[in-house]
Amino acid sequence: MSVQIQRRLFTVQEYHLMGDAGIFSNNERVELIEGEIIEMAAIGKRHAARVDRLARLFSRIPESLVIFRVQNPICLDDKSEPQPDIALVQPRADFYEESLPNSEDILLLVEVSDSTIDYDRDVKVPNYARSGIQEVWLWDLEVNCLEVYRDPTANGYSSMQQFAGGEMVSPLAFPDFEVSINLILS
Amino acid sequence: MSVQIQRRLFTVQEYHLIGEAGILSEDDRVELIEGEIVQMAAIGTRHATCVRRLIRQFRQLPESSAILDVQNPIQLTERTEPQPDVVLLQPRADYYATAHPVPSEVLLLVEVSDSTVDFDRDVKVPNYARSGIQEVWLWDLEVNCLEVYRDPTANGYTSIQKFERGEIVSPLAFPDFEVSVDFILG
Repeated sequence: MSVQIQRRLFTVQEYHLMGDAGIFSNNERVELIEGEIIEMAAIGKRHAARVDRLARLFSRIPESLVIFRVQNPICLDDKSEPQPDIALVQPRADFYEESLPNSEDILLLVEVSDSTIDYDRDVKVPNYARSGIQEVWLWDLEVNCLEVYRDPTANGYSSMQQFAGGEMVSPLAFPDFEVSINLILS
Repeated sequence: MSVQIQRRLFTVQEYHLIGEAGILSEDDRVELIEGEIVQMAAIGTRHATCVRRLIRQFRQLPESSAILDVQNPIQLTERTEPQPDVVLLQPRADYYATAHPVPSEVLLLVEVSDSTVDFDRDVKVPNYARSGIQEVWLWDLEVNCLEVYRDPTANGYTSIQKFERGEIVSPLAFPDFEVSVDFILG
């Protein structure tokens, strides 16, 4: 028989109280996923470079249309506060100082995955779907492709398209803004 | 491929800070096991009755020979602070006011298991062995027997004896103090 244990799960509020109590050091990379505090994998050179390429690309979208955030937390629900690699969010005058962006504020969420692809695909993407994030791009650096998830439902995204080198893709929110797969993956 | 993630583990010190910050309340039945905050199973009537019988039995020991502790924390290691059902402690004038008891102060540790016997046997008992607790009694209410673990090593206890109804058992620390398996199982 396998050993079943029930971990104590935490709410976003409890997670913040822990931060306030000084439990996480400043440079500690953690995120709250479904009530569990997860240590984020160290960012490798390849991962960092691809995020930078994406950042340069998305910075061309006019500031009046989008706020563009890199590795900052978002609020999914009462038990999840992940830090996606990139989030394009609705412009807001206070830059979300009063409250973190939630799923309705998010126009596009981008994750870059190397060693964490299984966890990202099997746990984080379904979590994004449940909270209603309209579109997720998952860059799989292990097989060099992009998975685009759309049409969120409580059971996951009902649309998933794969893009490989040579193809172009546009976010739902910015259909005229074209991203070349080669530019990010090469 | 299985999903590999690294949960953020906590030290005993962080675990206490979490308590002081008001995140874990008195009603939260949790313990820290190998850095994970684990929810303890609700105590059923059979479990509770067995603990009551153990209290009835062990309180016959003179106060000068042991402190009888029930469902209180002990500090095993930097990352483990469980709350065993019953513990016999070396007497101390301050009743351990300044620090939770550590393994060298534990004369006998007793766990009562109904639904959690796998977790107790496969995770907690080896953990007690590694930290050097000299003797553990595990009452398995599913099959109505007592497992007595002695001779702790880093790889577990080298001596395991099973006692059934009708038998009598004595703790190593009190060889003249006889406990009837029938009385405890009711």
